[in-house]
Amino acid sequence: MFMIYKIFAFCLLYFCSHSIVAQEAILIKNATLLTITDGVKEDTDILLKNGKIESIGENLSYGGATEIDATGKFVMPGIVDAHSHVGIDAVNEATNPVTAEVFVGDAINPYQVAIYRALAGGVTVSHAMHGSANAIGGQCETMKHRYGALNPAALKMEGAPRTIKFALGENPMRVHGENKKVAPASRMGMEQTFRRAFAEAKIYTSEMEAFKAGKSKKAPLYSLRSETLMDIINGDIIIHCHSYRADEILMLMKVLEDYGIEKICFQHVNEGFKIAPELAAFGAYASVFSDWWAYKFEVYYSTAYNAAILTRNGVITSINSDDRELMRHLYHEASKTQRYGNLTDNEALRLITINPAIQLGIEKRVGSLEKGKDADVVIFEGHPLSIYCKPIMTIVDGVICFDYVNDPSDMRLDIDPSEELPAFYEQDHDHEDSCMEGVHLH
Amino acid sequence: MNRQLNVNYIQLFILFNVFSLPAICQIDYNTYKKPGGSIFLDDVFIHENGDKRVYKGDIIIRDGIIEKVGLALKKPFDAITFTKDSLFVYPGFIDFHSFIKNGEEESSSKKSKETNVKFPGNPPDVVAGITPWRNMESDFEGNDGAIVNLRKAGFCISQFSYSKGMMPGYTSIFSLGTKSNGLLESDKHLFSQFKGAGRNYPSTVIGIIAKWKDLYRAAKIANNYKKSYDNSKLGLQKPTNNKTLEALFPIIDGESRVVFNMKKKLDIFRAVDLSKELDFPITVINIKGANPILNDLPINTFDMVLSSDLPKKKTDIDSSRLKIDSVYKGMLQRQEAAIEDAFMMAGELESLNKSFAFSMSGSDPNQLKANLLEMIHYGLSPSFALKALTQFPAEMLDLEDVCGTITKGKLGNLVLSQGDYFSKNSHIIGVVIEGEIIEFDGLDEKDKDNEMFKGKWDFLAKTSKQKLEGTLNIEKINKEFSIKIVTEGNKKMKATNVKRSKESIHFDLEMDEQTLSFDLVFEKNKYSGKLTSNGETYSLKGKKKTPK
Repeated sequence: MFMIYKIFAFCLLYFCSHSIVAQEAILIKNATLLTITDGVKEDTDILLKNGKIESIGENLSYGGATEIDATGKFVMPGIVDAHSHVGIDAVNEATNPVTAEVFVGDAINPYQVAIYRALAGGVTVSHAMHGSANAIGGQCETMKHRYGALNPAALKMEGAPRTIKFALGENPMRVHGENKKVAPASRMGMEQTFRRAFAEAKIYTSEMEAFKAGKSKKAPLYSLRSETLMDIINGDIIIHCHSYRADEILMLMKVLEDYGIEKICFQHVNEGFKIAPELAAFGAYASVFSDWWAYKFEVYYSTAYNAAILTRNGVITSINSDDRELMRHLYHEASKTQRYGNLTDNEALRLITINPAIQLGIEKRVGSLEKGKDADVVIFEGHPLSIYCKPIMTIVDGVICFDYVNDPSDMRLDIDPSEELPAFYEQDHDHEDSCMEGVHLH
Repeated sequence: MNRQLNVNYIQLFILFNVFSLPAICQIDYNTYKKPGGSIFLDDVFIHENGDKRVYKGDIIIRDGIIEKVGLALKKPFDAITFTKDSLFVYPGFIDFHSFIKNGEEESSSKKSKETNVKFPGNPPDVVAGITPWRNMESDFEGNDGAIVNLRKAGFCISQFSYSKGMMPGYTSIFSLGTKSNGLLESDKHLFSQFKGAGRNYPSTVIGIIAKWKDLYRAAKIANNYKKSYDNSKLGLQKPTNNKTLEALFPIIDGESRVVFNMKKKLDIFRAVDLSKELDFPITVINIKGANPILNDLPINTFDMVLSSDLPKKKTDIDSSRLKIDSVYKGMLQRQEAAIEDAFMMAGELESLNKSFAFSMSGSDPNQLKANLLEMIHYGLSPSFALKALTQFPAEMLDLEDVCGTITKGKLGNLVLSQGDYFSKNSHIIGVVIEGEIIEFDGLDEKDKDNEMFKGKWDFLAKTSKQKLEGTLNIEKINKEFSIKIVTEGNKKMKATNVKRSKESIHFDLEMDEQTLSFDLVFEKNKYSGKLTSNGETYSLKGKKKTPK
């Protein structure tokens, strides 16, 4: 009997893990391609080979390729979620207002079923972020949803730029000011927390450079925190800042300006519509919810037109999930901008494809269907902006990672031999505010 | 002789009263013979090491060291002989890691006060769980209950560490004898784990890894500066005194390695990645459930130490639900496969020719043998299992010249098993640790029926006040010994408080409102011992009366 179980487990494991190993060619025939950067192409084929988009055209053929007939179906680039906490074991190192040195990429958990569920929603890349407990939180990880890989490193999107989480407003004020009785306890304190951190990093760097240049014989005490902050000042790390209120967003842009920092994407940015021209002038990006607000005081002044207003004002905007459930239907979230703001199909789809890719600095790899880009594609039954659509196949790096028809019902990768068998399998629990995951307020 | 016996019984008193309270009535639980002189294991089955076939021979241990191993050795004149039918002798087992309980187990109020610091983001190192400079030698106590359990499982040596925080300190290696001076090596490995400091920094795995990087790189710079300063002090400031960073210098200089304790299999990747990034060698301990990821791990780049713990096989299967619920059935099948995977891991590692040891810090020593037999059932060979308990940990601890095999010159550490240890019905009856024989209450029925004590013995005891002469009559009734002394006037006195161990008997005799305590050691047809009365000790001896 055990042998049967072993064979079953092996088959499942093989199915899951072959996605990492196999590099077979896939030819999707007669689809309607939503390329994002090159219009809509009907009755067109797309050949995926060696993990890349090999070619796009009519009547393609390739010997040995797995052919998929997509007649009447829509193919779009894999959805990119610029704000998530899926696939990591630790979200908040909520002990200090500044923790630039921590890195969620050190705690990737490739076994989370939420990754597979995201694939079922067409999401192939997500930005696993540190939480918003700290003014300067930890560094984030841009990960490919290579579900089936058992090694955490396999999920890292190689070559993706470094990013870091900042946070404004109530969360860090509550965690540190109110709860731990240390700064920042106010929005004024928030600004000073940023300024002080950058100033200390600059002092540290000048001392370390003097030591390295031989001008000083004794090095300062090494600080990974200051080293990371200096990488931000030097433009090597993109800031992704949890934010709601317009005044605070303007404050941070002023701080960044003072330190010559240009790369920032504001996350949530519910009051972004108030300062869209200022954001555009700074070159800041905005990653927003479609219509999620009123879960705390600073998030009341919001509108479902936010994404459309930002877009029309020239701010590169994306729609994110910040939630493992919402991540499963980001295409619905994008479609709301057509009801609230009259965005075109392509503008709406850009919000969940090329725009978040730009915000993460990976737009040359993903976010559109172009020859040479990563073979991250989703096949939809129905147009992805239709409420009746359904993703039926998601391909990452040219390998099928979600197959609505053929996947087994139990797609877990990690089985706990000791757990009590529940009446049904449930990994997700309530996540009222994912950005505050792991934070215990006393 | 008297003095020696006195020492024995004082230690025995401590053993039972302080550390074995639950077993206070079982005086036979542990007994020992004081090291010194020699031990002669006569005509026993010897497993010298995991590679050599078992053979029947003799072992001589003198002054705690194996003096000779071989066939038909001559018994030394001063030797205590140890012989028994079907006695299998193995090298003493080596536990790669256990925790030690100690003074850091503080009261909750004191702990709360200490961890409630003003700046949780920048707590003192002690509060952050970073104490690599700590030394725990004074906390070792050979008769601690946990150590008694380790001995009962066959372990003679263990590496200990504290258990609090991400970097509780360096390990020390101890012999597990009852003596308090069992230290073999101190400051051996730096112990670390992904265990946060609660409300203080670092509290999460990402905080701990970042802190590790920060400390290690800072220590590297400090180490270089100290070397420059030591080389030439001219024009240089005195190095900053930082005992945390200084404690990392042995790792940086390649003189020591880091032992990472695992809670779940993803921790293995994290520890391995960290060691690779910072470039220091590691041993990963308490590994379990890692069979599915063996192909993804660079197993030849780090030392592996398995938890001997295994998941329990499912016994609570809902058979009625199984028939109608395909989801339940599928989940059950996968869980049973995962359980089987756990049983197979040791064997898989053997097939990959990857050596490993066992750590008991996350396991119950009492389950060791049962779990080993499961592992053997699922592919591990007994010889590899023996190596994992002996040679491999000895190598990982750089103690291969000291222990790990039954070899002349190594420590006299042995496991004494009634029957082949790797057979189901065998059991460990004792261990020898640096020549100290420690027997357990695992004596089989045959042994309990030992005829040695039974019979009639000459008896002559003299105290300052009186003389007692007659016959010592020892009988066995319902597995318990009954002792009577019959004096010349046919006066019968029944002994009370009878306790026996393998070769000795203790009993009390009430006489003229005095309590006379007897401690007698028997050997074949004679005995010797002592009588204690009113704080004075008198020696006595006698011979077995030959039946006419």
